[in-house]
Amino acid sequence: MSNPASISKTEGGSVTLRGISRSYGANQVVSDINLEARSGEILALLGPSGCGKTTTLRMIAGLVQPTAGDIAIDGRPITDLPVHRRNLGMLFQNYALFPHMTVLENVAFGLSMRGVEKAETAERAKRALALTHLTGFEDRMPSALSGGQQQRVALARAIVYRPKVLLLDEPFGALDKKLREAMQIELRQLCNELGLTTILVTHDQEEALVLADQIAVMRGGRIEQAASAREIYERPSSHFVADFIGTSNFISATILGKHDGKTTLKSASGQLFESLVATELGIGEKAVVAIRPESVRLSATGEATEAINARSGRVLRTVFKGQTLSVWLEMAGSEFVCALPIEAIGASPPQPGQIWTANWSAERTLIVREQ
Amino acid sequence: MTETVSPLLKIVVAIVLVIVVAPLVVPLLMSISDTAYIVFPPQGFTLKWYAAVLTNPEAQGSFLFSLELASIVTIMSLILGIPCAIGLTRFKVPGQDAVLGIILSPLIVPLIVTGVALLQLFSIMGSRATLLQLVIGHTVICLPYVIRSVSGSFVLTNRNLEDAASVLGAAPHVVATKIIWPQVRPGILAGGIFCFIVSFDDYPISMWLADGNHFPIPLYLYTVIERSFDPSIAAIASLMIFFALLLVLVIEKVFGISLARLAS
Repeated sequence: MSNPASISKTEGGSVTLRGISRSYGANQVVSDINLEARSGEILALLGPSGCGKTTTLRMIAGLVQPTAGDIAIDGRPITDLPVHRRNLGMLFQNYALFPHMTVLENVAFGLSMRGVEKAETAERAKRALALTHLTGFEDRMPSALSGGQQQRVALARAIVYRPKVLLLDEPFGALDKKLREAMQIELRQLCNELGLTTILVTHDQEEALVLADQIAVMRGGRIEQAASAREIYERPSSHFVADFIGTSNFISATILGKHDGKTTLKSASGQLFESLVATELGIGEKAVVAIRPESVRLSATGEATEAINARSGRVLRTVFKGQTLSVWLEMAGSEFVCALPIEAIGASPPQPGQIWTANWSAERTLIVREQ
Repeated sequence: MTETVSPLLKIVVAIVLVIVVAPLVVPLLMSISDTAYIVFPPQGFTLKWYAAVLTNPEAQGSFLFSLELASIVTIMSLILGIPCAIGLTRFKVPGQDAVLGIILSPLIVPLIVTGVALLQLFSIMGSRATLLQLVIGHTVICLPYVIRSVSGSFVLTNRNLEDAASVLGAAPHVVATKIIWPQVRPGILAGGIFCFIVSFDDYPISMWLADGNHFPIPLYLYTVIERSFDPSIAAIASLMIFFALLLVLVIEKVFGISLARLAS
């Protein structure tokens, strides 16, 4: 039996992007991206389709030339290096397995390109297949494999020659939910075991949260915010980020005052908000208050009240979601959603038509830029 | 593949197949008739017409010349057609559509017109190089088949595979031989076969450009029809059908490409 652990841990390379841009004619697809993936880190480029994330990944791979800027791995510039000399691993959206080669030949391809001797190539390819749990599939053709198995072949093929950096382009898009989740966890373990620096492109915020150490949220070819998953979720910097990652209730407001780390805001309707979340926005500036549904507590008031960080509204509908009960309240013509933990619901849960009051703490009152 | 086929479709397909195949069966049957003239249905059975044709030095010469001509034309058409198809499918070149239109025009203009035009051109040039003239003439009419078939296969190649191979460390020439070639090979072979058969069967172009020393088999067949009307004509026709069939079968065996894929 081959020993999976015998593909030894390598030191992942750090990837640095400095002022990377790409345009096609007048169409600027990627604008001035500065980003660093530290050694061994999993970085997710997250954004809606057309935000430039795939172009950015392809520029790192060398499949697209940047119109401006520099890319370096471990400080060594690679911008002018042709694709086949960059020594990166890459997983493509539809796996891109070579249909005319067996599984083993597919995995061995990268090694034979590196002039590795035949016997050693076969040996190492088999070890990589063992690592992705595909021992016994060596002589199959890719078309005879399921989606999940093809994905594993593609992964084995990408890591067999021990690249320092692994690039993933929407790798799980074609898999069903269960399989996707299993593959995500497996991939994360594998990357950590091998110490691979991994850059992942995805439009699925959940996937980014599950996999990534660092998330760069992209929009219109620019990076909106790059930070740890937790920071992105808990301290989104803009309306876009707060909306794209998770769900939020948004209320436009103006900053009234900042005092001892506490920021006071006032909405157009005159309601006051207090926040303990740091913001770089100054007094008098327009901002958006964002409240996560799970930060909200509900109390039955029976009548409309309005206080600091509290709003009441009529219950529109409730949806049971397993661990939580989602409650939609109508407030000033817009909807306000709350997610209550099931165990926090008392004997009389909210019913449509009743008036309930939502309130939340100042620590949970997020302030984000309007744009 | 488990879709149910409607009976109406089956009937239509059967009718089409009969219409396509029936004319091929007729000369086969006529060629074995033991009569001094062509009759259908055949009377008696003999292979003497085949023996007569195969031992006839004129028929042999024409057959070998057609083989030679078709081989040269196929090689020329592939040499010209493959780069052209790559250019038309992989690059954005100004006037691409115009180029494609000109190349495909021999499919639209009656062949006999193309033949006359070439004859006029060559006589203005004072050319006496009959073989070269035939090669040029046939290449002009064969090129559309090669380009259509080859560019079709290039359009269908999966560019992702090339990207994957480059990332895995394959230099451009390795990508071409190990990744692109296996994908386009069926299209190139199909184009080559069409080309060979079109050249081998051509009458209207050869009619204008051939001479007594360069006499392709379709011209020979026509002269035999004019001279006599015995079943040896049917035997020649049958041999040509067998030859085309053999060609396709050999390709299928050697290259493992099924007829169905060639047709698609």
